[in-house]
Parts: sequence; C-alpha cells; structure tokens
Amino acid sequence: MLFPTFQTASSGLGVFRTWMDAVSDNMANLDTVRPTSEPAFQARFVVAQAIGTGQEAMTGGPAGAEVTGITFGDPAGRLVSDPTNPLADSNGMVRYPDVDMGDQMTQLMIAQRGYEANLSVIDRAKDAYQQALSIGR
Amino acid sequence: MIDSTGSAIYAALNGLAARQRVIANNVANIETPGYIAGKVSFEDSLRAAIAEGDPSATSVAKLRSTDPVNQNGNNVSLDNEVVSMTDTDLRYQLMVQAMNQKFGLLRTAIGSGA
Repeated sequence: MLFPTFQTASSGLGVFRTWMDAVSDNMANLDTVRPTSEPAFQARFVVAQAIGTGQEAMTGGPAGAEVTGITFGDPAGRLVSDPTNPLADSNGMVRYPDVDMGDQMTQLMIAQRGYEANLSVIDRAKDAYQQALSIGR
Repeated sequence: MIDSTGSAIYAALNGLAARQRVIANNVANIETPGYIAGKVSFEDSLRAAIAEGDPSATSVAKLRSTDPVNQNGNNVSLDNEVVSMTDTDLRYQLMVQAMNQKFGLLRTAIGSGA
C-alpha cells in the first residue's frame, strides 16, 4: 500500500459509520409497535474486531478495524397495555422494542467521537505524507 | 544511504513512520473489545546503532501497551494517542528538514559552490 495510514484510518471510519447507521436505525424504531403475535423490532448491535495482529501495522501491512457482524436485540421486546391500538391482542397488549434511548444516545456519542478521531488521523497523516514527498525538492 | 548522517536520518524517518502507522491502528481500534494498544520503540536501538557507527542496523520494535484495560478489555487512550501523534508528526517534519539540509549540502558540493 502506498499510503497505509489512510487505509487504517478509513477502516476505523467505516466501523464507526456502520455503528452510527445502526444507532440511527434503532432510534428511528424506538416506538415501532408490533402485534404480540410477531417479534418486536430488534435493535442492531455492531460487532467489530481488529484487522491482523497489530504487528502488520508497523510495516504498513493490513491494519485497522472491521465490522465482523451484527447481533440483534431481544425479539421479545416489552409488552405494553394499549387496548385502543389497532394492533392490540385480545388482552389489549402490544409489543414495543426493547431499545433504550439513553443507551442509544451514549452509543451515538461514542461512535461520533471515534469517527472524529479517525478523521483527525487522516488529516495528520496527509501532512506527514506531504512532508515526505518534499524530501530532496 | 549516502553516509552515516543520512543513514541515521533515514532510520529515524523509518521508525517515526512505523509509529505513525501504529497510532493510526490504535485510533481505528479505539472501541474494539479486547484490543491492546501498540507502541513503537526505536530510539534506544538508533542511539546504540549510531554509537556502533552503523545507523542502518537500527531495529524498530513494536511493543504492547501495559496500560490498564477498561471494561471491554481495550486500553487505547485517545488523549495519549493524539499527543503521541502530534509529537511524531513534528519529529517527522524535523527529520524531513534535516534530510533536506543534508541534500542541500550535497547540492552545494555538486554545484562547486556556484
């Protein structure tokens, strides 16, 4: 790779952006009601891991982080009594997703900060690479 | 490399570039569960190599950070990484300037002072 730091930082950007996407989807479905005969909306959780052992990072080999999968929240959700809801069952119950707004907001902040941190790495790396290109000029 | 000065500067640039890549890897994995931050060490080896008269023998080593891990088994500290990134960047610039000075001297010699 010609400029490996960019690759590494952009892998980080990818992970944090996927995380923000998942959070926004979870938040959008915070009040998604389902009948009790169906599973509730399941929150998405992003699973990430490091690329390589970290040893490759030093020599410019593959490094960074990657999304390896998504796990889903509890399909049982929480049952809420809402007899006037057209989706309510004979007992007047409906199913809400088990998504906590505070938890999602916290995750959003972590993901956003992580994204910003990786952006600033790209910024710094660009300066350093430009310097290197000026050698001997 | 041209001579021992040039080769010492080259070794330093090499080590600093490796450190910059490892910092980028640490920041990319700032929330990865179980990730242990990496650190790059080459200064001691460079110092010894210069003393031996062969700076190109400098070895760049990657170490694992011994900082305490937090709940998800990760021990990357963003503030440490940012400080280290700034430090590495400035040192790198310094070395680039040194290398350019070195080439400047050569250029002067080639041009016979013209």
